[in-house]
Amino acid sequence: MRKEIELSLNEYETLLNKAAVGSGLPWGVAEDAAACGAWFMSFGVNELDTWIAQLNDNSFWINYCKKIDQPNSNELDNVFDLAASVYVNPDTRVKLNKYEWNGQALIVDGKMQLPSFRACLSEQQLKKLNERANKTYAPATDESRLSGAGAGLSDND
Amino acid sequence: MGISNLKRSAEKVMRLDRMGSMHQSRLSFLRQFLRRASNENWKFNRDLFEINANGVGRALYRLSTPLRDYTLICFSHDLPDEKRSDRVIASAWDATFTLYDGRPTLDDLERLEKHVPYQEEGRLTQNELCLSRANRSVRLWDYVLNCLSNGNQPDLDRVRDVGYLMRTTAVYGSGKFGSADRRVVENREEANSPFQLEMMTVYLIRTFVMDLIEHLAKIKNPDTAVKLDSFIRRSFGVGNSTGLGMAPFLVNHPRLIHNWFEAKENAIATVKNVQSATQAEVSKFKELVSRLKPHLKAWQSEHPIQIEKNLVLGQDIKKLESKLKDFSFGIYFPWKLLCDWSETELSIEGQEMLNSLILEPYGCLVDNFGDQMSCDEATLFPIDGEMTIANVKSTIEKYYSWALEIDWLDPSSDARAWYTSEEKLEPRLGERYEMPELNDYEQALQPGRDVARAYKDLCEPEPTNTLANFLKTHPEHRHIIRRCLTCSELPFSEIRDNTIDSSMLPIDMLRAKLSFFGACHFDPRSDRWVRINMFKGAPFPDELSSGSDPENWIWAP
Repeated sequence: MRKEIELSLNEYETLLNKAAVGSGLPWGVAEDAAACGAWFMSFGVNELDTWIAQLNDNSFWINYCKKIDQPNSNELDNVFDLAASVYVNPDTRVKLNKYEWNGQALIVDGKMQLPSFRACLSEQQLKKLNERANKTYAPATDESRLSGAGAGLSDND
Repeated sequence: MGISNLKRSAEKVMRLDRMGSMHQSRLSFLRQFLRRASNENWKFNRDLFEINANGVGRALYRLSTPLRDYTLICFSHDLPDEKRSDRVIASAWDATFTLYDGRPTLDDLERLEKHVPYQEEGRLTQNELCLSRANRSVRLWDYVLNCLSNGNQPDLDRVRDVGYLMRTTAVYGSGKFGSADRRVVENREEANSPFQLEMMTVYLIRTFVMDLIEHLAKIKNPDTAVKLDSFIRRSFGVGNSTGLGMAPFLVNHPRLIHNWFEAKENAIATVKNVQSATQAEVSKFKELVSRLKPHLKAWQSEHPIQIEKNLVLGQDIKKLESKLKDFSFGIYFPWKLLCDWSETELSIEGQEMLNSLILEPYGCLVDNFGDQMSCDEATLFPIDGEMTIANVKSTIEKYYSWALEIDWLDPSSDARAWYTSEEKLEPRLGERYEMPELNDYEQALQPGRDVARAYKDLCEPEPTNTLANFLKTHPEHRHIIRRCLTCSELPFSEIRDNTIDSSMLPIDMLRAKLSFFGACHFDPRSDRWVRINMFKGAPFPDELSSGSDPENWIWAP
């Protein structure tokens, strides 16, 4: 059985953001990509494998941002355009494959999804996100350890 | 006179030297917490206390609001001295804690015992709201323990000089490490204002620490041990040791930060707008001024910057006392006149102290501003892609002129880089030109430099082009452009100083945030590390439930 990991939604969005930056997306684009991924998870929908796959294509997310900055049609080319449409106009009604937004809630295969503040993902998915997020952290060096935080290593006073 | 006319501008307030001189006030989060706990008559219970002679064991402290219970779960440890570090990279502590939503079962305790002592390495669930840990003050712990076990009370001056028996080294909330997302609790009245559950956690830790030392003194010498005198007991707050982790918060939450500073500035302007002060209000104010000298005496610091600031603050207090001798409160708008006087006569530290003090007699006018300090940050601020380049540029010129005036070619202007180490993800600040590899890991915490870079590129295209097209060709500026558009609507959202300048003091950022928490006795350990005290002088939960005043302990020595 696949092991499931549970994160808070806030923790999940932060991790998505770091994974996106670690994949080479500019800061601001990573924010929108992370918000998009977290939006699905806020309805208990895990579109993470598709989301991670798209991290290999910066232009995909740059185009995604253009769509939310300057919305000019309701045509949905991919699953993430659904999140873009709802972000631009939460009152909108849109359908794409198994998904439907009725202006208030997300419906999947005809079933209304309950909002959730948790994110359930597989161990494998978490590993993939962490591998990308880790690229945003500076390697541990003695110099950094001693000088970077501005405090000593022991506090006996 | 009008509150909006009297309100200080963001250009004046949001400068690092002023932010780094701020003091706690009625709107500080721990003050809001105590006020609510008292008004709603919250009940307090110690549900469990199982600690052995080595100080190892567990305890439960419960606060009950009219609607629900919160329980602080405490794990007490026996920590060898050589492992005692306040930094994020520490791996063991004298005590570890989590705030539980409700009343935990024994199964919960067993589950949490496998996680909470490991802090960042453990995992929490939606039932847990905060995660924290604390270390003993070696300066005071053994001394107080020996005093009590021998039947003596500790020396009050010595207690006041340190101010705490344990200091927390982190208090995590808002979904960190698997705990409940803020959205789970934000609609609860007692948790809506910022950091209310974190304040509850620290407040209950304070009680646990006092119980722990009395318990260990009793075990050490059952025949002679005494409890702390209730007056001396009150002189213990909870210490806190804070590093750079707090600084990015101020930059990363512009909408929230705007609400904090604006609420406080509205409160100050409201009191300045009081046309005439009553005798009771003046007496209250003067009584608080009389507490300042003892408060300052107990404000110990070895850091040259704070030593100098406290010297000047001592002179400011004398000037204020002298001014009050012949100041006529019978004139119109007395608080405005006093504040106007401070602007030319007192240091920034003294001015900010006065701004906090004048709020005290006016709870009925200003406390409600505390309700406006939270913020829904769940949705990203939208970018209007139809804006023209000309419009974006003029917005930047209007709100970020301070950033455009900086010479960014001067290496001292971008001397530092904010980054996160892979070592337990500790936030750090490095010297960019000594460690050029840091450029690859830099975080988005220098709005000044980034806005100047974006502005330069905005000068290239036709002014009538749309922002959406610009961001498609310059996605690297998306973050800072979104920030500019956010901050142009919310003036107090942005620190109007260079956060990567060679002379920048991160402790100024830490102090601003800590003053909103309600901290006092700021004691910098370096330019990027500060120790503070919280709840020093405040009533304990049992005192609060028996009617102790939740407000009148402030500026305690």
